[in-house]
Amino acid sequence: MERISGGSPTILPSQRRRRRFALAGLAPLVLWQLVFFVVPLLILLVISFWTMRNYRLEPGFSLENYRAVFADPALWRSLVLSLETAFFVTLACALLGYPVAYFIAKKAGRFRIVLLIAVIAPFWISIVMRISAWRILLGENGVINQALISLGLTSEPLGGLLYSPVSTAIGLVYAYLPLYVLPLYAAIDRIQDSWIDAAKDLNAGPVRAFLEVTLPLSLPGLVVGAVFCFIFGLGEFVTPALLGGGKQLLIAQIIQDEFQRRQDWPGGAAIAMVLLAIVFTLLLLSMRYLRIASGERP
Amino acid sequence: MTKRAGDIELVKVSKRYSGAAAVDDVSIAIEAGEFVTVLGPSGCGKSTLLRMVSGFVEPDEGDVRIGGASVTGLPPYRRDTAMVFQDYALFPHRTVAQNIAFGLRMRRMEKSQIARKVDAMLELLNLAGFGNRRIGEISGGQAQRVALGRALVVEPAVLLLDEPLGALDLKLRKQMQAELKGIHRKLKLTFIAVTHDQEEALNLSDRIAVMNAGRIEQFADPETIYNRPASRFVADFVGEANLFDATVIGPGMAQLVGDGSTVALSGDGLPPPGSRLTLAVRPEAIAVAATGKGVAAIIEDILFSGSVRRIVGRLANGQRVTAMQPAAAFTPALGQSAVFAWTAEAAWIIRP
Repeated sequence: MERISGGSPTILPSQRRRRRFALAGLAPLVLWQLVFFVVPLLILLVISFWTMRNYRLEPGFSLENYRAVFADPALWRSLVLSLETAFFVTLACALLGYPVAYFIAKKAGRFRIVLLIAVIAPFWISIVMRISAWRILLGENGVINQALISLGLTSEPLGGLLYSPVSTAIGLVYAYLPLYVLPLYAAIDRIQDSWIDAAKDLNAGPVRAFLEVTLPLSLPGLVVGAVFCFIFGLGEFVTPALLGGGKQLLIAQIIQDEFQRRQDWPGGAAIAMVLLAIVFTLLLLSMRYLRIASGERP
Repeated sequence: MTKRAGDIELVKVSKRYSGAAAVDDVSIAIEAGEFVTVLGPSGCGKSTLLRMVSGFVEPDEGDVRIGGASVTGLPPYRRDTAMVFQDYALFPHRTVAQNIAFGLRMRRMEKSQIARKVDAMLELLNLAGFGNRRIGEISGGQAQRVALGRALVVEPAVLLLDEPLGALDLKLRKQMQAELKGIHRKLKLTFIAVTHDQEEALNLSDRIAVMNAGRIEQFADPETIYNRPASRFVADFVGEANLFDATVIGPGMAQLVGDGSTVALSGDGLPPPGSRLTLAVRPEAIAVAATGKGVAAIIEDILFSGSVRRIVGRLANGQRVTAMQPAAAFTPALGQSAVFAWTAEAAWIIRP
């Protein structure tokens, strides 16, 4: 475990030159991020205080858009639904991903690399194609319903499979599972077998050894995976658009709606800013946790 | 806590890994309260043997008994053993005190009692005041002591130590050897240690089991192991030994193979003339002289190391012979011929 010692060491001129050289290498990336990420974000922030009059943007400083985010029950509902969906997806990914990550890290032996590639492989196909495939599986005449009917388990096709918050959640769990497995794998891989052996040697049965040693030491991976899943899940647009059916909208769909259909840019910008604030808060909290967990005193 | 018999018995245990025997038909009986070291080169099966006692390895054949009762088939958490792991295996997410308390918590001991025992253990190991340190904040020597404390605090019937001092530097190792021995004397538990360091084995143990290729070559007290090795391997592995192949030529006489020099043998029941045997002679038992009775050799190397001088010669049969004698004794010149001599009693006979 790394620890940062206090006090700044003296830096030699040659080291300073080397560091300047390394920083110069970062310049293109920093420039790119500035122009295409930070600047648009600032524009969005400014617009969120503007107003819309006769389909024209009017500069100014109004908090009306932010008030609307919390006052409009429909908006509020989809924000809550988004949080619920993200939470459920995160939980499901953690429960499904943990055994997978554990198996790859501790039991797979020489198949480890193959299995890791298998986990990453879905990323090689576009998310739109993969999610569209779920429509074929979940649809009223889809593979799952056909199978259930031909097995005689149901006479009528199940209607609620596609175009519901449930199908959105299924699609998201499928899409984000690799994002959860990878950080978990990295965390579990770092748990030495001898730690688990030591627990067992000191009379901890398999369950207690897991709860006392393996699980707490997997926490960094669980947190990183949860951050990935939750933040991506909160802002996800493609999957609910394809699988959600449009009756209950998630917050990203609302934002898109504001910008495109209703042409209310300031309103959409304000919702986006609220979403961003939630995401940033979560990120700060998790980074704080990870710093403490990695041995740095707060 | 009730007193338990800490005697260990391994009865004809074997363990094979993909066909190759790691432990090959080993039987050994260790008495309660003994400090036994299993000594051998890496890959000789000594760690496998230790892990059979702890329960991490199940023997393919044979029986493991602790305190007279068979524990074969019992998982580690049902055995009354505690292990000090080679890398210490201290829990990184727990403090020093929490590490030591772990085994007591698993045994569902009362909180106040745990606190008392942990404090006593910190005291015993000179770690008082370090209880709240994180594992990343202590030195290697301290980590070693925490690992020892974590295992000792549960008062196991047997303490198992897997290369306990291997990760420490020389000075600390010497100091910890003394501490370990002191703790053993104080607690009177059965200690079984595994090491490849012969000096450590000689210093620490009541008895040493020398292992080679999955078998125990000799199980005896350190003096016997050193002075009367049972096999070529033991003589060579423990301490330094000159090994000479010889043929018995008469009562109390043998001739070095390929050399022609005759040497005296002592002891009763020597094999009849014509038999082959191996003589083991410690370098410190050999004296070098310019002339006289003994084995002639050409001096190849002389190493001065303070109080003693090592003199290496080559016999007529090409074999090297090493003598170690006080620096003040006679010193031949390089390339000169000299006589290497030892008494009949100094030549320990190993039968093939």
